Amino acid sequence: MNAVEMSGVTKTFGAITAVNELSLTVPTGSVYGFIGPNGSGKTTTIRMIMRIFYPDRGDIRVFGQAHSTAATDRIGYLPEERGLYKKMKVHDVLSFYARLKGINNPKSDIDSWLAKMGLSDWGGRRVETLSKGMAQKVQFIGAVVSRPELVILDEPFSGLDPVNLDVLRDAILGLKRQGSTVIFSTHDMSAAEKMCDQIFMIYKGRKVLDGTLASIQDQYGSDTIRLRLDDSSCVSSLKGVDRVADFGNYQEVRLTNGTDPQQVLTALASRTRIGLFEVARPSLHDIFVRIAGPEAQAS
Amino acid sequence: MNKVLVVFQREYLAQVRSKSFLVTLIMMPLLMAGSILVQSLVGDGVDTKDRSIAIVDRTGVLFDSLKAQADARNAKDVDDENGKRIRPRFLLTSIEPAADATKQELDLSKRVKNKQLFAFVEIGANLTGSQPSKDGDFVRYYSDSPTDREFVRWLYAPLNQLALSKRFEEANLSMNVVEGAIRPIDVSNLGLVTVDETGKIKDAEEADRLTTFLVPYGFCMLMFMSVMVSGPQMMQNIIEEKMQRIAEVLIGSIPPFQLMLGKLLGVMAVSLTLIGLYLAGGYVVADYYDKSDLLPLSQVVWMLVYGLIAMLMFGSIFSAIGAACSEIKDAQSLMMPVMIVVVLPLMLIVPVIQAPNSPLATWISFFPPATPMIMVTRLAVPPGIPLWQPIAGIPLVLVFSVLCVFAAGRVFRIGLLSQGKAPKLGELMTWVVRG
Repeated sequence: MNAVEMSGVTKTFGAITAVNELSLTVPTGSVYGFIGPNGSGKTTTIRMIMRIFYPDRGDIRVFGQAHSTAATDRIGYLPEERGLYKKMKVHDVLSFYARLKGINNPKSDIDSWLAKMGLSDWGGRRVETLSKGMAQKVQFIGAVVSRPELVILDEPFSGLDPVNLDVLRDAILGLKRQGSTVIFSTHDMSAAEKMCDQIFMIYKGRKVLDGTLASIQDQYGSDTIRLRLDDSSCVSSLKGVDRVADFGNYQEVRLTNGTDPQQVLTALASRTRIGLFEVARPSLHDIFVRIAGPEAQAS
Repeated sequence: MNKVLVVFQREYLAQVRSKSFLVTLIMMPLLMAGSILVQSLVGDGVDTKDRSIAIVDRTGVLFDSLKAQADARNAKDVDDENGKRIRPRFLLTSIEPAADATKQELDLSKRVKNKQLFAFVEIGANLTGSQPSKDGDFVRYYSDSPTDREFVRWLYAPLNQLALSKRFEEANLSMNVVEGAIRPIDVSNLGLVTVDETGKIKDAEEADRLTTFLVPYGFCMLMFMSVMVSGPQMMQNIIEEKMQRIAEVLIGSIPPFQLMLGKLLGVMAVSLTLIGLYLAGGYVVADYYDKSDLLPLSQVVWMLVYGLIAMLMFGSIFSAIGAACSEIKDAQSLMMPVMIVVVLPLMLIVPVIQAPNSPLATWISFFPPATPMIMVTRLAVPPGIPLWQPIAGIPLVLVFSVLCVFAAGRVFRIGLLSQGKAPKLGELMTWVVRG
């Protein structure tokens, strides 16, 4: 069974079409990444899955059912902007959220989550004393403490340092191992590449990518080479080079359609010394920029 | 239903544990006790310095008796039982009337200015005459501190008594006969004579001012407070939930109507707590002064019943306002019309207490927003009102409250997730109508 099935979903706010004819299937047990530029419709899509918003058209089913209200104990939700009572103690807020999800005695679960997140000492403190990263982790616990079958996280990684990022990533993968379905939206392309079974990209309200990372990369073929050259200035003038992204230590070169990387290698070898030459598939970051970057917008 | 209770519990605890609730709870009696305390302190703080007062007695016959009375007062009334001076002594000196009255007044005024005298009094020549005269009937008190009425208050009784007895003497009337003939008539204000269980006729109880005004007024204020303490607080909590985006999490867990219901139950319990604590406190105080019959059980029950319904009614309106606004500032303008309705009964309270069965009092107590406050007030005025009225009031307010809850529920659902500019009253109405 699929955790989420959306078909032909459209949502408008006044004159703006936030989500346009969107169809999406999230299989049970998968980790599904939502990517897209700011304002492209990610949060609206998530809120519609949560049934905080109702679609104008189309059908949304969660675990096969078309609920009429947002309230369901089977879904855990981390909203994009944080929602915690400032004056309440951390443990009390979490207990409140857990009991709202129908968990009658959440204390031991809360304690073990706080320990897992390195927040054991903070349970008795007020939310307002937490740092941003801590509040983020508390909010995450609030979303998962009721052991929901589907966890929806709207930008869970924003504002986290690398250590906390690892903690949260492990926690999300742990949820997957326990059989939960996880949907999260992110701007962190490497996190999406590494963690997601499937990736969905929305741009201007429309679905532009949907599938496994490999299948998405296949669409774009092996048209990318990574290079390290003694003289990097000679690349851009080569025949068959479409675009060069210079990362300092190496360059990522996109070739025009039908160009043979072997010819490029030969041409380069005659001009400069080559430290690295790798034929690669485009990264998610690159694909994102190709779709939503300034170049794409211009065309 | 379970989730409603979870919300209820949080709202109740959040309010009851909040500082503002404790402050209100403690401050109200403290303020009342404080004002009494301040008054008694100020009472102690009267200027107890001796006051020398010159008397220009143009009758020539009053001063000696007046001085005798002042001396008697100085000996008896100025010290408390521990010998502590609590009032000033009045030291009267006689001044011969001068031919040039104006000049004498000016001289004496200078002496008052120079603090040699506290004040002076001129007594007109005809004050003791049995027939009125145009220019001799005056008593004039001159001082540099016109608001200090201590001496004037005292002077009134002895001077009247002395002057009257002289007038009677002059008219050859016996003071005793006249006093008997003109003794004042007093109307005492009684309740009705009742028959107790044993068939014995119970004397009518004397209705004092405390029972007939203060108690009903207190009930009205208590009802007002119970609405005003928890309602706006809940509204602020809802605005916090919107601003902190807690609302989104809540809506993901509990349907909006249940959320509102939980909150309403919470504030109803807060009101009940407040009313209960004050009534218990009031009973203890009343019992101490042996006045516990001022708080009969029936009145307590009416208070609690109407308190609950009032909170349901106003609570739902406050919750709708909270949900519609994103900032406290926005809420204030929407609160105005609600506040007017809440305060309205307070403005009518005096005529209602004076005539609890007047058409005005009766009609206003069937205007649903005013019913709880007015009804408990009227019930507290002895001998009470026909029983059908408070009973009929309950379904009336209840129906009105359910309508409020229904309308507020729609505003709540739409408002809770909307951000940005607060809607106008008209837009709120469209939310209510369209759902």
